[in-house]
Amino acid sequence: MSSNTATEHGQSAMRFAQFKLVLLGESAVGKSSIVHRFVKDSFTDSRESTIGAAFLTQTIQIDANTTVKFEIWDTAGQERYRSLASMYYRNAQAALVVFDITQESSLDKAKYWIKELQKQASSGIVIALVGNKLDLEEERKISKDEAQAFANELGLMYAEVSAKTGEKVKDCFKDIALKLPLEEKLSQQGQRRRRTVDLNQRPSTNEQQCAC
Amino acid sequence: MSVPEWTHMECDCSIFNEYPMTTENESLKLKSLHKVLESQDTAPLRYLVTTRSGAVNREQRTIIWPKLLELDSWNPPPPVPHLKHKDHEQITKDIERSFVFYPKTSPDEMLRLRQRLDNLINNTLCAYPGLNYYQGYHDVASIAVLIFDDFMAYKFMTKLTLMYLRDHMLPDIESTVRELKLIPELLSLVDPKLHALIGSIEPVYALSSMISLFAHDIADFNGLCLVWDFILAQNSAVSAYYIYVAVLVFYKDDILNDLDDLLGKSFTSDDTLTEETELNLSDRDLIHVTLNNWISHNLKCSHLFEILKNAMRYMSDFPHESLQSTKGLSRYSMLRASSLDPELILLHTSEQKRYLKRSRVSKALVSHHKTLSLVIKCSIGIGVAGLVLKYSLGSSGFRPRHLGVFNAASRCISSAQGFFETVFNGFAE
Repeated sequence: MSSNTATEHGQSAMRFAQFKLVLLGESAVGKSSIVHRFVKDSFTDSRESTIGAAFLTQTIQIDANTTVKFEIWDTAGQERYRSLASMYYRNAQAALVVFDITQESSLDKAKYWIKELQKQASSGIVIALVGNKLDLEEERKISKDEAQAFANELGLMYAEVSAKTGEKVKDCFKDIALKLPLEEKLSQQGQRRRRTVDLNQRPSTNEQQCAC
Repeated sequence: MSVPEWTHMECDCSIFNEYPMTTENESLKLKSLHKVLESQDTAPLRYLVTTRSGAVNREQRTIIWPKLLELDSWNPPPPVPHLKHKDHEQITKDIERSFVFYPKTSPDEMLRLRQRLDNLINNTLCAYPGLNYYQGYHDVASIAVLIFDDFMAYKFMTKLTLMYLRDHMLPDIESTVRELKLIPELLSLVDPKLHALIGSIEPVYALSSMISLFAHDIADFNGLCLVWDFILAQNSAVSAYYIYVAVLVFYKDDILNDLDDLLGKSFTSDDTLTEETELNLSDRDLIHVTLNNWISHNLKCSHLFEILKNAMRYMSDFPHESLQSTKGLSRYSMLRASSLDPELILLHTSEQKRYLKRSRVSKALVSHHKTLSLVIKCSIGIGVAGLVLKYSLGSSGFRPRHLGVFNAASRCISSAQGFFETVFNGFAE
């Protein structure tokens, strides 16, 4: 999914492309927290569990003329929701497969998702294996070398981040944006233009006033 | 006790539906509630609870909800102390992330609430064999913790689980997904125009609202309680699906406006929206996202009473027993079987397993059948080519023995076909 609003006024034209990105991984590894750090630059220790999927969007500027908008599909981690995942990752151009560096089982789950994406998702999908909870370095159970070697072997991007402190989160999304087939998207002329509606606005609880 | 005359009035006409409600009417409603609570017959209570402001407040709900759920005669097995359910690891992860929107309380009190929630979920899931935990069940149980003491919360959750949630607690999510199909079917009856646009979208957008009875998506505690007043008053698990459809229809114009903007089409115009509205994958994604976020982002509690009233009207106009989607459900489903025998969970589970096994086998057969039909097509193709060649070569003076190679090929294909047929038949048996 992309829309090209590039103007044709020489080199200084602003370029804009939109991509669908999906987050997968075991429950409670911090998928939603990574998204919220990226989109709202905030973190809370008790973020509600995701059921089904949640959606947010965020744009980043990758150079002076180019803006990339991510439409982010954040999925539920519990095993029983697994069969719904293909509905969420279909036609995604990027995937963040997240594990928790302090939970051994979470890397196995990440490997499972990578395998499934490579088999079932769009062929050009950019996959990043992401270890979260870098702030808990002293509780680390999965070595960086081991996870990185696995990612290298499969030709995936690899990053370690902390949604809590914000360390490397933006870099990770920017690196993905740089790997996306931007030129290809921009050259797809004739795409219909879309006005954008902000999908991120959730009213705070006091706005949902009960007048009953 | 005789039923007071006003209970027979149409819901809309009650003085308790006036807005804003006067203090006088509010105290009259409380008195009426106390009066009908004395009755063995729950009908007057069910009626009163579906007027504006529902069961009024938390204090009333501690008494009214057990009555609506008929807990006086409900005797679940006593909880076994310290027993941990098989899904305890996942339960713990979700409890650490519970009570996010309410109540605003001290860290100590939060710890106590979460401990109570942990015990409640474990005890309830261990009460009946065959129950599996799902994310979202903790949102439901949180409400019970906030309304009741531990004893009543356990009674409430055991019955609520068997009556309103058990189909979501089989080992996989298939029965839930099947039940969600009630939503597009109902929508097609209530609002064909909206259905023309969103009817073909997989109704998984409604998942979190349906399996949590809206607790995951309505962030206002009083608003959520009002929805539960209605659901419990209807005495039927299917009421949640009608409420969901009523939300979509109530906000139809806003939904269509948002989709106009997102998809760059004009769905608000009558001409654009037809049964043939073509949607590509990214359109479908955007519709899914819009609907998925609708309740949590856009539902206003001040609209709830109107929505709930509409839902009740849809329930009587389009009873779920007549829907194709209901007929397609298991006879053990909570939407079809009126019995609350916990044995139904196990029966439903084994039926579901058999069903999944059958669908796996038929998928395999279909793919096998494709291979077989390819072989047959090749064989016929070569045969026909052979005949054509034989005819054209024969007429131009070539001797038939030159065609031996084609005949041999044809014989090979026939043998291959015979082999595949044998394998296929063996597999089918």
